[in-house]
Amino acid sequence: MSVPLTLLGLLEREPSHGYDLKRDYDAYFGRGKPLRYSQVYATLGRLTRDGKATPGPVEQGAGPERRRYIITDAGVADVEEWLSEPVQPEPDLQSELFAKVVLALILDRPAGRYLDIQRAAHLQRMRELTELKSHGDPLDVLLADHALYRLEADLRWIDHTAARLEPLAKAVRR
Amino acid sequence: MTILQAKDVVKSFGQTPALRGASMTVRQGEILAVMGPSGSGKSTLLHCLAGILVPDEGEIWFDGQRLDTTTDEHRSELRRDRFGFVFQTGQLVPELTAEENAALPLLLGGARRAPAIAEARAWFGRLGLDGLEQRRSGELSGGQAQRLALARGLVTGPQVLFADEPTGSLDSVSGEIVMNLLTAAVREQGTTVVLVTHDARVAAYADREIIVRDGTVSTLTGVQP
Amino acid sequence: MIPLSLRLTVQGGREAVVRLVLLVLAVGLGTGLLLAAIAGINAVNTQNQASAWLWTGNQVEPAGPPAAGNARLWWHISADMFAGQSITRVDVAATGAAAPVPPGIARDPGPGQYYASPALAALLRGKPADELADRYPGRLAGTIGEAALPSPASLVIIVGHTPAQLARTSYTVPVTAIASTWPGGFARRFNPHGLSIGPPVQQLNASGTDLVLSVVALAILTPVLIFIATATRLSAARREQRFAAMRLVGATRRQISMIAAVESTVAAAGGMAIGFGLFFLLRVPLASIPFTGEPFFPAQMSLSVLDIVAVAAGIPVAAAVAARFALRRVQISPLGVARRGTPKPPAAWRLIPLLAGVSELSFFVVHGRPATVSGQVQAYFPGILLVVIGLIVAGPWLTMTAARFLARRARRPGALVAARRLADDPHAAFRAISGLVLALFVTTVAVALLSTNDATKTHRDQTVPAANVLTDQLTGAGDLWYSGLPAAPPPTSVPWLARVRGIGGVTGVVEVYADAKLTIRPNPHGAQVSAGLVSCAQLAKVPSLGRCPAGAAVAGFPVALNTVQAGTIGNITWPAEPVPAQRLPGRGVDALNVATNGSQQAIERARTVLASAYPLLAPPQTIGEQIAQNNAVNDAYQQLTDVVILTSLVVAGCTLAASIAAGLADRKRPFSMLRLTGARLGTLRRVVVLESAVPLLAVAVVAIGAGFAAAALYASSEMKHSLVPPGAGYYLFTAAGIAMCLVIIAATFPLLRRITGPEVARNE
Repeated sequence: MSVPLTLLGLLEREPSHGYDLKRDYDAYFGRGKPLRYSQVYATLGRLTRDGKATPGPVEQGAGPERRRYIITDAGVADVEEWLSEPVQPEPDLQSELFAKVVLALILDRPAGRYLDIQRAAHLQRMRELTELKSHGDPLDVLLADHALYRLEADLRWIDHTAARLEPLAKAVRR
Repeated sequence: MTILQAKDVVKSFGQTPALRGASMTVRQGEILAVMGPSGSGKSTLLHCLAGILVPDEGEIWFDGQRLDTTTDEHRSELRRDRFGFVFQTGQLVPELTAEENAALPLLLGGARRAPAIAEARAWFGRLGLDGLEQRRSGELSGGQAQRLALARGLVTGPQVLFADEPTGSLDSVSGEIVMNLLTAAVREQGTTVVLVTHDARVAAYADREIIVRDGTVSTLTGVQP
Repeated sequence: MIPLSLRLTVQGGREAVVRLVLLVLAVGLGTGLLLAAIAGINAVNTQNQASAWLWTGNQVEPAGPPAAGNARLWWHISADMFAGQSITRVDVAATGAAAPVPPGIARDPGPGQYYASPALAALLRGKPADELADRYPGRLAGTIGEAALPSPASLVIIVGHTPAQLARTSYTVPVTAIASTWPGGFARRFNPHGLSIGPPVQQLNASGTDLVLSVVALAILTPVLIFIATATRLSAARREQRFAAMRLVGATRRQISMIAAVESTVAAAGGMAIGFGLFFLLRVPLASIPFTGEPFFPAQMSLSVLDIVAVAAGIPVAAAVAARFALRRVQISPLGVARRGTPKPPAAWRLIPLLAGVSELSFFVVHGRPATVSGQVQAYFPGILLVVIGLIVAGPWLTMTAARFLARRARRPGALVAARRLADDPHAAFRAISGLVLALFVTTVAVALLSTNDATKTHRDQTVPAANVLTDQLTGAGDLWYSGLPAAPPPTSVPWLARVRGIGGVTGVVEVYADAKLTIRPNPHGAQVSAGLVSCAQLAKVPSLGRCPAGAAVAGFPVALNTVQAGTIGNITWPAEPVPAQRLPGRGVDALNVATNGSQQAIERARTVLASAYPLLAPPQTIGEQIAQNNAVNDAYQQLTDVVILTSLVVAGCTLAASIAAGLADRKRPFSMLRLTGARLGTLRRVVVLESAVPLLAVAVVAIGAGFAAAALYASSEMKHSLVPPGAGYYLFTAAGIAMCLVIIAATFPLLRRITGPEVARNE
């Protein structure tokens, strides 16, 4: 989840204070993990340094320093490029499970049972997500669906692997 | 409380054994997913539980009575009054209109036409089928047909709903609509559901799952199925 | 349940409506034919009953004088002819006012009076007196009522005489009552003091006609039944699917049967209404067709209340039963066509009924045929029925055997696909061609029997040179009918012969003088026949009757010309006899042959002169008329057979077409897949052709063989003659029938092209 680019995207909507940016980010993308103010201002500082945003004039008023930040053309171009480029598929889950399966086969432990246990956990998680979807708002549903599809893809790989444990075992026990 | 039970069920088709000693229970009010690779015998297990097929060996129990030893007539009546069915395709009668299809179990049970149709129409609104009452099943889209099958399955207020790949021929959006409606309706009525599927996202609507592998039933975590 | 069933029956969409319409039409056709057959049988019986009174002279009379209040009626019956039509002539003389009166007239005709049937009365009025009316002494007193007439075309005349005129003539008996029941043919037990001859105009003997009409009805109805069965199986897969869906949601087997029964009953009821309508519409035109030689009175083609009730109740019941039977397979599972095993292959026991039928007929060859005609019906009808049923039962087995043979030898993919499909489901394949097979069987039997029948007659050809010779037996000696009663002595003087010679158109007269002991053998391999003497001078004037040897004055000549093969008469040289010609006139004249130029005028005038000279003997017939009479029965059978064969073929053709279309519709997807993956349309066409041609040829061979076997057995036991192979016409006809099948099959090719187009293989 790229924080700078997300803030930049929010900036493209309209020039905003850091406070507003944090509030919007938490509402849309926070998911229970709100951004720290320090992180917001640090990111804004970096963006300004890199020429993607510029600070506007200081506004008088109560409270700490309040300035609006404005996106630059370079910033707009960056957002465009980020939006239109595909995300890298993240291999983190598969690599850990992969390691567990290979190890189990090397150690002659019941890999099939471990896969079953993993399946059960996945299905449980999918159940929870499905339950969540039935009374969540549309954005919650969108995120849940994304997770569900990924979990389903994992399950497919698990099914596939479970069907090929024999040849895999032969391959690793050379 | 157990509402359905299979004990050591064996069923073969010609030379091919589909179930070789399958045992499992279904608790009242739960949604049970029956999963497994294709050809594993899950549909056959469902057919035996629903009284559509009679196992070669073993016992089927429903609500305290043996199902596999009763007459075909009795099992037909059970299917009509106490069970509902949503299968993948092909269970609507093409010659009847949508509302007649939905009311069919009531009509077969001897209900008069007007109250049966009214009962069926009550479901149409809930399932998003308004306006389709007079259509023939051939004129419905896949999702509409499955929702109609759902209406028919629920019209008698059944104790058990048997679903076999209910979203198998549907795209993901239609499928999700059907599953949402299904689960909402059965939760409300307290209906037990036996749901055969190979699709994990469909199985995720269930409370628990059992796996049918090579004609026997097990669970992923080792507990009793 | 019933409203639901009705809705299902009527609302099914285009495919179901087509099926319903076809069924209704088929049932209607079958009902109409059945009713026509029943009415026909009733009509024939009524006809025979109407001629019962003509057998008065043969019935048993109580011995002794008549009871008080009853006077005797002198009764004499003979045959007459006009323009090739038979006239039944009854001469009566009442001895008192209380003498019995024949039906149809108010009182017995007195001397100088006669009653005639309406048809004959019209002829009497319309034709010149010297051709017809002069035969009958007196004048027309009235017409004979319908009750006494077998047919509107019947020519019957009742001539009155004084008792003195009739009492001492031959072939006359006194009777005290008119016969009221038809004796059922020429029974052996007749009045030993009564006439030994039957009425001259004999209907096709009723039991024989019952047999014929029953076989005809069966032969026409069977293709219709097969068509009904085929139409019932249209869209069978879809209906099975529908029933399976209903079984899934809890319909019991009984409820499914009920629905199917309602469907069938609706079709049956509709068809029945059409059938009854057809029958009542066509009753009158049908009655005027002379199926049995003479047309019927429309009133005769009637149905009794029992008939109507039986048909009206029987057809829906049969439909319901058939529906129940046809549904057996679906009763098994609510999963319907999803899981269908291969149907069991037909077993070899299926040959049993066919073999049983053939052996039943063989039994009668060995054992001898039953004595009475009704016994014959009871003997042959089951045998023929068994053979017909046997063909239908054995058909699938024959198809499967042929298919397996083809599968082993198949080299091309088309043949292999066809063979496997046939071997897999031979029942469906056979059903399509079963009507045609039956038509072939019926044709074979009928043609073989008819050609054998022809061979047993002594002559067939109507255009013989002697066709226009009137031949008259004045004594009856040598004719097979007459037996036992003393023959009248031959007349010695023939004063009116000059009148005969004087009729315009008479080209010569040959008198056959009596010689009690003379017999000759006219045909080299024929029998010896009674003969008389003819003058060669007279014979020379009539070359169509043969010739004398050179130099002979008198020759031997048969008394009854119908004992000689008509076609050979003109070529025979009669044996000379050593009797001087001038001694001939003193002898009695046994027979007379009058040669004419063939004009109706000449023939009828000559006949009238001879009839008035010998009023109580049967007047002469021309050789041509005799031949025609002999052939009449054959021709009637021929006509019936043609009707049966034509109807069967048309219906069977419809069945084949419907079957192929249904089979194609069932296999839309597999065939389009085949085409998509590269099979040429030609290969698919070959599959369709082979699927019909293989069962047709396999079973046709057996059907034709069975037909010849059945005909041969019937011929040798009933007709005492070995089977005569039919002429070229039969082979041409059979080939044409098979060619018609190929045409029908080819006619479905455009359908094949259309339904296997790529759009059918879409995945929706």
